[in-house]
Amino acid sequence: MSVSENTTASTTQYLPNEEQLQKNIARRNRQAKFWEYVFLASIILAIVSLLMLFFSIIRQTFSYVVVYNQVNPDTLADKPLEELSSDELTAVIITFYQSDANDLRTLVFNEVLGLSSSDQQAIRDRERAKETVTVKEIAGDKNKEYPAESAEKSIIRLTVPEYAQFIQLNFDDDALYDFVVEYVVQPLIVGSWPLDEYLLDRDSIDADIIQIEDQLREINDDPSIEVSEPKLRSWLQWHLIVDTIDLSRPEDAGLRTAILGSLMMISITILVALPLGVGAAIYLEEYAQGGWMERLIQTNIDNLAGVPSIIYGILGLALFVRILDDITQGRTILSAALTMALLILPVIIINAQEAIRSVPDSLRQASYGIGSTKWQTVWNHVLPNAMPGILTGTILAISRAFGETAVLVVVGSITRITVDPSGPLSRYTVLPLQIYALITQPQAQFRNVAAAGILLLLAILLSLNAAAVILRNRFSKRAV
Amino acid sequence: MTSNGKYALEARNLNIFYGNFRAVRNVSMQIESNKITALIGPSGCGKSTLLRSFNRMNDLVLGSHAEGEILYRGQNLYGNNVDPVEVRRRIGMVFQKPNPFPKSIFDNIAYGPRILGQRNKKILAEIVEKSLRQAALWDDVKDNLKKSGLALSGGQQQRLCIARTLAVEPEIILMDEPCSALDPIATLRIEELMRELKENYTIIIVTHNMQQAARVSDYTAFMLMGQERAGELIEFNQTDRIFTQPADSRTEDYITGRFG
Ligand SMILES: Nc1ncnc2c1ncn2[C@@H]1O[C@H](COP(=O)(O)OP(=O)(O)OP(=O)(O)O)[C@@H](O)[C@H]1O
Ligand SMILES: [Mg+2]
Repeated sequence: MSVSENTTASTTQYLPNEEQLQKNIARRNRQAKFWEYVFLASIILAIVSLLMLFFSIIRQTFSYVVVYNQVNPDTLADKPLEELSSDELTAVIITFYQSDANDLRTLVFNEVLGLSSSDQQAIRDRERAKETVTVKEIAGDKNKEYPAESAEKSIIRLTVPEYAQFIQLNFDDDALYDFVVEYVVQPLIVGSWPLDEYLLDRDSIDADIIQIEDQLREINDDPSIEVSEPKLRSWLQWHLIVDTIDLSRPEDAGLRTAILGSLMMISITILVALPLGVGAAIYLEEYAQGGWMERLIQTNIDNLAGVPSIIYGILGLALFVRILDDITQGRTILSAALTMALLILPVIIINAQEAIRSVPDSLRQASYGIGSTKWQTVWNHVLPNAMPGILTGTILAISRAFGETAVLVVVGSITRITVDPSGPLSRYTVLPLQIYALITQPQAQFRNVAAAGILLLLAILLSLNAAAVILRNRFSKRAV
Repeated sequence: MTSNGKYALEARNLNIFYGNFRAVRNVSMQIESNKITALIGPSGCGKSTLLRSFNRMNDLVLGSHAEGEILYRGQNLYGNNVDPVEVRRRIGMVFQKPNPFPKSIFDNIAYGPRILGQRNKKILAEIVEKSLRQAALWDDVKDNLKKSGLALSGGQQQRLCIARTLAVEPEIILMDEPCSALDPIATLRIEELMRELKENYTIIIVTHNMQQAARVSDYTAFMLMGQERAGELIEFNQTDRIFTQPADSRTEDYITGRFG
């Protein structure tokens, strides 16, 4: 202290005096604290909104439902359904489908034999040509049991008891019970309430239930109708992944077609955009000599990253769907993937450039210094060291492409498609669009399916990104 | 074999430009084979620029170009049919900051021979051992060749970089302040190494350390910024002459620390 006093005393006073300095420091510290709190608050805000987002999905994915049995199980037999034997269950089927052999046949084709719609069409065509398609042939083909006495009969002309017997032979007791519940009792979800509403506001739900019951009684003209007690139901079920979309029954709606469409599109998009993007970045960073053309290209790329996606959609429609129609076959996965590749190309290029730029020059010099060519330097040193950064950019790009909807509406994805995409040239739908289609359905239960679909979307996205992160970590480890 | 006799390199009226800026003006000098030549001079006078032009590393700087000639084995390095990739293999370079590849010690050294087409594992292992021995690093790392080159100390890293350069069997080694990031002991070891290496190689070193130049070099070139900030060669002679009886008063001023 005395030293500083001595020195200040002997020289001109350039800095404020001690008291002012103390005040100044206190003020600067207050300022620093203030911004610290601002940053903390913004992080908390971000986390809270993320949690709220998650909560709003979860409360719809797990909801309380009430079920109305279209056929009262008590009227089917004198015992509860669970206690019936296999023969008694078969009898229930026979009674119920007595006059509807056609319906039962369709069920046998779909549920027991697992025939595709083209298989079924083939059978009908042969029958129309006066050929007999025997039970033995079809069931034998599918490795199914069949009643010996109907072996030589036409598979489309069996009687109701014969079809029922067919079902019984191929299903064990549990499967048969499930079959009866699904196709005889036909439970229908008539009300669904988000998790939190059920837990917090039971009274209003009870009132809702009474109203639903009244409506059902009125429609069916049956005052005895009752709905089940509210039960917790998870809408995130296996069938969501393995079934195709069904916009008439929320319980049965699956997203298989959309998942396959999304995955196929994203794969082609990555295959196209990653090499192109990294190649462009390498050119711009390592080869470009800074001419006006290259500067023009660079400026364009930087600006393209901010262009609204709908504009890419319009470009894709004109270019890939219309002009290159011969190659892409119009509104196909290929067109969508190429459009999407254009959309994420600037993001990939910019991130890859950033990554390449961050590779220290000393490494390039080391490589050139022992007589490497430009290509060897880029391929052996620059790229491996830039790879973690490139993959980070790719993760961002994939996430963007996976959740993109506007573009795909324009380039022609169809939401009501139930046929799996078979290749790059098939028609398709994607998850976000399918989710949108679900939400716009009038029945409230579809919102539950949509919520489960969103969880699925997030899960797929997270696994894609996890794969990229693992890849990235392997590269970072190798680089050190 | 060399048409210009005992000279490994000869610069003739060399001018080096960055865009329109002339960084080096009219340098002519002859570098003798199997000797150590030091380039000294104040900061910004173009030492690194001149050194980098000797193996055309300066080509990598956007907008730079050279006028004049650098003769190597009677051929102008800046001639039309000269491939800089080949030049850099024959005239290797060690940089100011050690810059090993982020790879194992073995791969750091084997990389050069590999890109030249040597794939034989046994021969590569021999090259690695020979280069490491030459660079006086073998005893430090022989049990640990799989270790990352970046895990070595600064001095060891610099010796690794020297070994990496030796592995492609150059004739001339350019060193740009190779010891400036090292402590005195590591510096002395590198100097010792340079004295050993000059048996087989010609070395040109840029240094700011007068004692170092006096200790290791046989010849010394003194550069200074002249008109328009262009670096010029003021004096070039045997090191003991430069340090005991410089011909130019500016050299004397610089060496005795009166300016620079
Ligand atoms: N990449 C470059 N682009 C443009 N000008 C450069 C570049 N590198 C060096 N220069 C300029 O050329 C001149 C000589 O630089 P150089 O690096 O050769 O000096 P130096 O003698 O090595 O200095 P130091 O002792 O500080 O390393 C300086 O004026 C510098 O500004
Ligand atoms: Mg320098």
